[in-house]
Amino acid sequence: MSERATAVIVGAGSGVGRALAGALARRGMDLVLTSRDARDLEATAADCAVRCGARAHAEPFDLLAAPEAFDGYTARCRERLGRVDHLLVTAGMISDEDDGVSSAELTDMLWTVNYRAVVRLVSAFLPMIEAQGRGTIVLFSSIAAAAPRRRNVIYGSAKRALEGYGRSLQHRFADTAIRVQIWAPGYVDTAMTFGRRLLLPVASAEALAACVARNMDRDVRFRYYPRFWRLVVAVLRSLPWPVYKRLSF
Amino acid sequence: MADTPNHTAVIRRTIPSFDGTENVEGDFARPEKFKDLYDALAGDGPLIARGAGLSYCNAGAGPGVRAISSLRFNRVLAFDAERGVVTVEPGLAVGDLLEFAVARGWHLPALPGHPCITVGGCVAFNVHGKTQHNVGNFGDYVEGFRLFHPMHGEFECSARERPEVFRLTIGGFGLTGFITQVRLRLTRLPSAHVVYRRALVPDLAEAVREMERRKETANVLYSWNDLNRRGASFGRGVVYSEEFVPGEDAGRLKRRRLSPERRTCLPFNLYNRWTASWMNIGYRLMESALPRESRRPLMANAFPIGGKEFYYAFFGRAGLREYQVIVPRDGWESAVKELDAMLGEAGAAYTLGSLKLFSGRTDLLTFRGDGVCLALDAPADRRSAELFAKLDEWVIAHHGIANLSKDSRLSADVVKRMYPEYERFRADLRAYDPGARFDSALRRRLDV
Repeated sequence: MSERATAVIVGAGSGVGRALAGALARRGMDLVLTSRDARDLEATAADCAVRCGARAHAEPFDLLAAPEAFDGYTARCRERLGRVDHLLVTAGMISDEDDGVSSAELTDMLWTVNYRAVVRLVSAFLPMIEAQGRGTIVLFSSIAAAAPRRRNVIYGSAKRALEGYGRSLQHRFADTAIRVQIWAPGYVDTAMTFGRRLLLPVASAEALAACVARNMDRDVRFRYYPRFWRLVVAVLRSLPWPVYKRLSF
Repeated sequence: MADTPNHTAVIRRTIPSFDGTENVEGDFARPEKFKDLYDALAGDGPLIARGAGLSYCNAGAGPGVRAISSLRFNRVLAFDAERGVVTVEPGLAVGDLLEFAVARGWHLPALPGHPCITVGGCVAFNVHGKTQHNVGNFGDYVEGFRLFHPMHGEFECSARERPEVFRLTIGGFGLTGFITQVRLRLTRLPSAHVVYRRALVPDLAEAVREMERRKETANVLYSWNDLNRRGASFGRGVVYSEEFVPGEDAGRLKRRRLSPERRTCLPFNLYNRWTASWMNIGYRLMESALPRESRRPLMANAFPIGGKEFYYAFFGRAGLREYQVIVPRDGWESAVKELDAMLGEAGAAYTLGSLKLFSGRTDLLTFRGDGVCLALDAPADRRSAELFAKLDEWVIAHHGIANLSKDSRLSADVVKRMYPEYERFRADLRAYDPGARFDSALRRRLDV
């Protein structure tokens, strides 16, 4: 349908997903932008079209939808783009009450949005991507997965599970033209970090998006962003339990 | 990236005015999605939109007022390449707007001093650029906008749709509601290059005469003047002008950052009478050594203060005051003599003096009139506060007006005496928003 590279961004309504829309539009890609609210998507799609001449389609979809709905969504994406060269999933959910004793409802929602629905989504796209013989899947974990703590309990463990899923897919598609990339950002200047007093620098969503875009067609399997988090994580992991248990972060 | 149902979307914050003289405590929200924006606008208490926060006074914040940031609503939504009409969100920075326009052969000639200022802020203050006398104010380029107010809902405003609200909003300090979209009518860009000229002038009067000689052809015209000198060389300085010349590549703007929260980390002020004087003398020396005429890409000098943000940092925590006034041309010479005497008596540090030519009628509380526009900066201290109080009376005596976006200390009484349509603005605003759902430190000080 089109000679331009294509991408589907799930989570494009705000934050990193929205920044990715801009970064990929600037690279001349055709896009499908997805989140729950069409208003956010239409404004971002318009911006991509007017500023970069990109073809960006707003395609609202709720990750909490029933499993049957996912196939309809992937079909719509294929209709819009012809083929899906890149699938980027930034959608996620965080909560202040995710402290290990949250309600069953909240626990379920966090688990679904951060892990189960993402797996459903990727699984729904896999047949198409395997038939294409090539494609890049970009997943977003978090430093929360690297250093478990008393906050963001389900979020952190779901991201850890998502990383495991991504790495398994990497193994499955090794030596093929299908790539799976996992990014673990630290603090990013979006609604997630707004108003929080943070001890370490906060990266801009645009800078992260530019880095992801640059590396999308390269052999990157797992990266922290910015890079210094690799050191932070290494230090945290090296702390003995009597010290680690006293940390409150 | 996140859906954050329990995360605090609104935080309590102390918001400083850009000039550093006033801190207010209120809620602050920075929505990224429309749902969060409308949730923030559904709050019980008073609200105000907040752009870059670069008006010198606190217009985008107020005590107990929820300030809602427009900065994440900064997208370009549509562009009619035939008519040059662009639809944008209010948080779009004017630097980005200009880059967008120029890349497509269009221009918006009435833009304010710093590229981080938002389109919404330009509407709120009906800002002027450097050739107001030729091209008018920002509001002259606003074709329409979409406005949200809890009492009135969301509606379109233009010269034909709700014209009374349209008129009240342009230069209405954001007090009529939260603008969600703006339609701007751009002008065709004559060319991408300009010839940039400098003329040294010995005093303020000659600066005005030099500007008047150039005003027909210049598309940028302003002066920089040393107000620390007394008597014959009061206002000695440089007149800058730009004219379009044929050229292809407009160049690019450098990314600049300026905000009230990050204006300075210096606890003390570096400017006093001596350092201000030396700085001005040094600047003029430097300017006198530079070429009288040079060709440049348009973007190279689109925002002269860009790159010189340290100027604001050197005022330290206590900050600065700026007095910007339009004095009618007729009384200008005698007004200047009185100004010289007042500045000499006050003995403050005058870090910046600048002139522009203005024309037009003062409408409601818009900063516009026929005459010469003078701006002066001084560190915010008791000396400058006393001086500015004297300047208030000086301006009124000469039938001039002061810019409400600048001086944080202008009182309602003085503004009432300066602006003939003050009562009309007050009545119209109160009729439109009787519950003061939109409020700010500026609104309270002006008592409108």
